[in-house]
Amino acid sequence: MLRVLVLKDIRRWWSDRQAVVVTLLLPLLLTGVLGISFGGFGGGGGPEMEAIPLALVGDPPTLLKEPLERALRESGLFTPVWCDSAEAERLVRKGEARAAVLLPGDLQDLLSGERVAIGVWKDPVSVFQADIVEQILRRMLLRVQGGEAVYVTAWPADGFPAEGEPDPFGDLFEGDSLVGIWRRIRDSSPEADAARAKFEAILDHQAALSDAFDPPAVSLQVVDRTGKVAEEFGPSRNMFDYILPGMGVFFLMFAAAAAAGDLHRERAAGTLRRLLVAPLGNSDLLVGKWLFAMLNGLLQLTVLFTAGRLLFKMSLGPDPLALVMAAVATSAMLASLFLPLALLTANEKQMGTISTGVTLFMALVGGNFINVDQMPPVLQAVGRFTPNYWANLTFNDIIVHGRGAADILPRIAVLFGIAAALLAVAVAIYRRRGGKVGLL
Amino acid sequence: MIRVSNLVKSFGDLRAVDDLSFAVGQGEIFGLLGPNGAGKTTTISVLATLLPADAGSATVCGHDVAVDPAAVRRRIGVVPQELALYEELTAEQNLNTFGRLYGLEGPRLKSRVGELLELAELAEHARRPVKGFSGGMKRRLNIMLGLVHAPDVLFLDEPTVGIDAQARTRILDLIRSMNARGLTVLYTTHYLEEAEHLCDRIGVIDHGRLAALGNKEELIRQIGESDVVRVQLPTAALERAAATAGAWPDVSLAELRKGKLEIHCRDGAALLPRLQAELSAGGLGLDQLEVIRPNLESLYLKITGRALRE
Repeated sequence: MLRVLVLKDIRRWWSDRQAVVVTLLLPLLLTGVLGISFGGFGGGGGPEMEAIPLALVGDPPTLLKEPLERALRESGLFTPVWCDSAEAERLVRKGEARAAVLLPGDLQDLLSGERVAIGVWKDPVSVFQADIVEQILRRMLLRVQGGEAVYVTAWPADGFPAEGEPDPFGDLFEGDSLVGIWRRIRDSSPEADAARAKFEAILDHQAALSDAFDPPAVSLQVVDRTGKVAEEFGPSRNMFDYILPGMGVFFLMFAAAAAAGDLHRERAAGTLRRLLVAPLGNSDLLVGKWLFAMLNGLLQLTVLFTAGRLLFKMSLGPDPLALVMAAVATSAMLASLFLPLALLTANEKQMGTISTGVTLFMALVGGNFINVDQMPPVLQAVGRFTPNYWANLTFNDIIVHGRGAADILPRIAVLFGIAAALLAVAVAIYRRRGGKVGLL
Repeated sequence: MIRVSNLVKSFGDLRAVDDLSFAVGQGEIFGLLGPNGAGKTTTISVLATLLPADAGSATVCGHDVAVDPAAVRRRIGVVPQELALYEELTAEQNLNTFGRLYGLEGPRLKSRVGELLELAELAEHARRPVKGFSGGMKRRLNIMLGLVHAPDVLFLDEPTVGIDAQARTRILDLIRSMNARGLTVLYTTHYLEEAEHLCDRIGVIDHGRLAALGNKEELIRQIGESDVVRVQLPTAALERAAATAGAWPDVSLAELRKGKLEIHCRDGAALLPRLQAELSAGGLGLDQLEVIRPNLESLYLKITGRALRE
């Protein structure tokens, strides 16, 4: 029976051009617009976003200035320009720089584990790019700090090997963490014992700061002093890796609301009455709508991710199984999200109004548009209670942080848990209203 | 096939069905005639297991609707008042969907769907989306959806609302042909002519109560309404003829009206031979004669005090 009900809804959906457009083409269109906006369409402009103009203000120690600027440029993400604060302010105000970074004179204190204040002026109309500037910059500084710390402790004289002099630690920077680097120094360089306490302090500070960016919001290829590319932070990221899953979940919420609202459409058309006199199980109608909404959502995500991959070269993460698990769990959860509302509302119009409001609110606070971590604490707390927040987090884990199926199992359990809870609420309402009779 | 005993169903303070009792025999077309809001749809909803009754009982095909609704559902077909169709789907897909919901599959389903499409004269349009159909075509398909699983009893809830006279005639023919195959039909309508021409028996319902029950002739007799025989005679003979007819025991009234003799009697047709014989014996010929029979409109007006279409 469920098969017949679901097939019926799939056929109806497929025959309804408007529904197909809203479910599949509209998200694709919006994604396309985003793709063109970020210069990644068709792969012709490269999958990565355009370099962000960045003003750098300050006079950091030479030790930091050159590698910092080089790393910024070679990341491909930034076009840094050194200038004074007045010029930086002018550039940001005119939109010629997305952000200005004010490096303090005591930046060197980073090397001793002290906290220093780094100012960032953001272009108010390019919040997203400015946020990237802030996060990447801080991450890079940590990386530079680590590198400097190693060299300072290893080469107490000036921190650099002379020209032509062999670099005994050259291979230390390949794919390893600071802790690993330190352990190797400790194991292989007993003469560095004197610097151990200082370096431990730096590492503690590094760890504390790293926690704030773990997992990092944007990964980056950093070219270190040895001239070798360290992949410590993973491959460089495509804008779509951040945008598309959030947009996918957002559109999925609309599709789920439309699928649940079909109960109202069937009631208005009279087909619900016909279905209710058919020999169906007590909850078949409800479960049938849920299954259809889930499959519909799965199809929508599949099309979006496929388009994102083929057209915009977005990453789908290292583990296809993880992505499939997340897509199924997210679809299942969102399919049940609006069923209680469909049972509580009187008609399609009421349902549409409320579900649109709920969707927009949840998308805003759940991180579909703005990273939850960048919101005020109150909204962050609210956001964590939205189902879409957990879906966003799961896709972020897979696509941005490269986590696999085993890593995301707890998140999948949360998504299915929410799905089960919402379905249970829907069934409880359904029974309370008299089962099938209550649907009329 | 259907037995309703002292059925009561209320919605808040409104008693939609009030102590309703009637029975429908196998192969019968039974009409529930009444104005909008009379309780017809509520009665069908209770019989179709969509609404629980507050009091009384009802059985369909021997199954109590409250005790064994699943068994009832397997034996009945319901044609709702609305065009309960999936407009995006084709006629064939609509029929296939509901056929499968009732367990039909494969060649059996294909054969049944083909048969119904032929019966509804929709075979040529089987693969067209329903949204492109005319009102009459949709109405016919609406009925076929209630028949796809070959039910024993069909509930038709005002199936001809909003269609033209030609399409209505086709639908009534369709119902008659299905009934000829043994289908029992419970038909609700507020169209007098439909009830009059289609139904074997009619229950007149108003304010949820059964006001009258029987075939058309029985109903009229229950009301006591009489036929009117209107005769055109030479003016000189009118008064004598009126006096003669007025003396007959089965004539309730004989009067002159607008130059014609009007004779009110129980059975106008039975009166005619005697009237003709009397006139011939008196050397009078009939210029014009008509028998006006009472209809359900007048009957219903008399019962409820309001017109059926109100």
